[in-house]
Order: sequence, then structure tokens, then C-alpha cells
Amino acid sequence: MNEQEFSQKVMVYSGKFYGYSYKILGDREEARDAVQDLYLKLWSLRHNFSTINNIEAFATTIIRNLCIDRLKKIKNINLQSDFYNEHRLSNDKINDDNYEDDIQAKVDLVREAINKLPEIQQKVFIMRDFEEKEFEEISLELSLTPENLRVILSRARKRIREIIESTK
Amino acid sequence: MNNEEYILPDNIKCFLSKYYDGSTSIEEEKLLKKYFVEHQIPEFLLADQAILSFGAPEEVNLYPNNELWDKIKQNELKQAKFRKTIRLVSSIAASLMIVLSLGIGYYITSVKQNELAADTYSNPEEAYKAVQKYLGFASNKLSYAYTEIKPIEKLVIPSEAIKSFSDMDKNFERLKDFEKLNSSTQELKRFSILNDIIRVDDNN
Repeated sequence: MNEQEFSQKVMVYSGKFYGYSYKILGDREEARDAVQDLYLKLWSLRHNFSTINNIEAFATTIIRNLCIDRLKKIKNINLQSDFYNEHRLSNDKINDDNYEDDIQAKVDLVREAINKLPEIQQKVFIMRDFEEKEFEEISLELSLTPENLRVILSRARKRIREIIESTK
Repeated sequence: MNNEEYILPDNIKCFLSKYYDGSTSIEEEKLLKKYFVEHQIPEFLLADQAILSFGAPEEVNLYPNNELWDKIKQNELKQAKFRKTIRLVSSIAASLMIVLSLGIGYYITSVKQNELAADTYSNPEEAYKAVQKYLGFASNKLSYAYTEIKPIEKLVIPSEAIKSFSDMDKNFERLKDFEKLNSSTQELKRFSILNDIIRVDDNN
């Protein structure tokens, strides 16, 4: 695959992947880096594209894994500065009168909650609630039965709700 | 918004309960997300609104593709440089190894040759004495060896070894006796034939 083909077939999704990673990571710089990493990887694999049926789905799997890896790094950094974060959150709540109406703040809360989930729950939640994939599709990708997936997803959603409730 | 006044529509209530059990379909989840994004939500449902708004369709973002191409080119250059450096370093290391091994080989052989050719004595008198000493030692050993060597005539063969040979001689002598007997019987036979001839003549 040459540069022109790559631009036409792969680069067209850059905006979508940027939006995807920004929503999961909540940081423009992190999202930018994730997209750059994704495209470096895709460019290095361009000679194998003939064996891949759906490049968009293939790239989505890579960006999801890249985002989860970056979430882990952010989690580690946040664990090191937990004291600061606790103070920041409580101050935000006190100072911001429109806190409850701020969608971005809610998304941040969900992101922080996702960060506290086990990796499999993170993957299943993102694939179902964010990528809107069918259970059959997820079960094929993660090699889990649909019944098993429903249990994991239920636990993930309930846990996220608990975490958000506890931060109120 | 007052929590007591707010009543969720039945279908949304049902979908929400199913949502936390992981049993909603994609269409039901879309309806839930739409409802929670578009409606004013009471405080007791804010956590649900947060989760469902996370999964709501994202805005269309633009990403500068030129930036991506720049990154790709930079990375390719970096990788090419890295490969070049690795090749250079490995070729230098290989040539160094060859030079070193050749050097070590040459050094070892030259040391051995020097050891063989080198004089062990700087003083010729000492060397002469040492040579004399070793030659004397060698001649001493040689003369001892000559005295120990005995002439073949004086060789003593053990009697047991000869005994078997003497037995064989005796047997040969017996065989000779048999041969003699054989010749005498043949002569006797000749005599008997002559007698028979004489008898026949007499009868005639």
C-alpha cells in the first residue's frame, strides 16, 4: 500500500479515532499521542492489509488497547498524587455551582471510574457502551461467551455507578 | 429538580433496570442515552446520566493528517538511522573481533617460537656445564643398558619349554621304527613269492 492508498483508506478515520481516544482519555495531548501511535503502527503493518478484512475494525481494536494502556499510566500517575486529586475534586464541587449540569464533568467522573475497573471490564464496557458492538461481535473478539459478557458488563456498569455515587 | 416530583417513563425505567443487568439491546441503550442527554434529570439519577452520556455519540473531531504524515516520516527516518547505526556498530565490532583474534593468535605463536629459540643460559660456561651434565647422564644410562644386554648363546631356555620338543623327538624315532618294520615285511613278502615260484617249478 502506497501513501495515496493509505491516505484514502486509513487516514480518513483519524478524526473518528481522535474523538474516540479523547473521550476515553479525557486529555487532548494524550488522545493526540494515542492517534499518532496508532498510525505509526498501521503504517508499519501496511504490507499486511491485504489479509485484513476490515481495516477500520482492526484499527479500532488497536486504538482501544492503546487507550487502555494509556489509562493505566494515567492511573499510576493519579495514584501517586491521590492527595492532590481528592482536594481538587472536592474544591471543584464547592466552587462550581453548575457542577451537576456539566456534562464534561460527568464524563470525567465516568472516565475516572473506568480507570478503577479490571482490564476485562474496561474492555467490555468500552466495546458495548462506547463502540456499540453486539455481544456476538465482542464475544468473538474477546473469546468469551455472550452470557459471560453480560455478567462482566453488568458488574462494570454497577461498579461505575457505585464509584460515581461515592464521589458525590 | 425535586426528586419526589420526578417520575421516569415506564419504558425508560424498565430499560434502566435491564441496562444494569447487561440485558438491554443496542436499540434500547440508544433510546436510554437519548433520553438521559435530552431531558432534565433529577439528582438521584445523575450517576446514571453520567454513565449514559459517556456512551452518547461523540462530536466529529478533526485531526490534522499532515501532522500524522510528519510523524510517520520522522519515525521512518529515526528507524532508518537506528538500523544504520546498528549495522555500523556491529560491523565495527566484528572487524575489531577479527583484528583482536588475529593479534592474539600472532602473539601466542610468536611467544612459543621465542620460547623455543631463546637461550636459557646467558653465560656460555654455565651452558657448557649443563650440556656436559646431561650428556654424562645420558652416557651413564647407555652403558648400564649395554652391560645388561646378554649374548644370545648364554640364553637359558627353561626346561619346561624344551620338554615338549623332546617328546616330539621321541615320537619321531618311534615312527622311524615303524618304517623299518614296514620295509622288512615287504622283503618277507618278496621271499614268499620266490618260494611259490620254486615250488611251481619243482612240481613241473
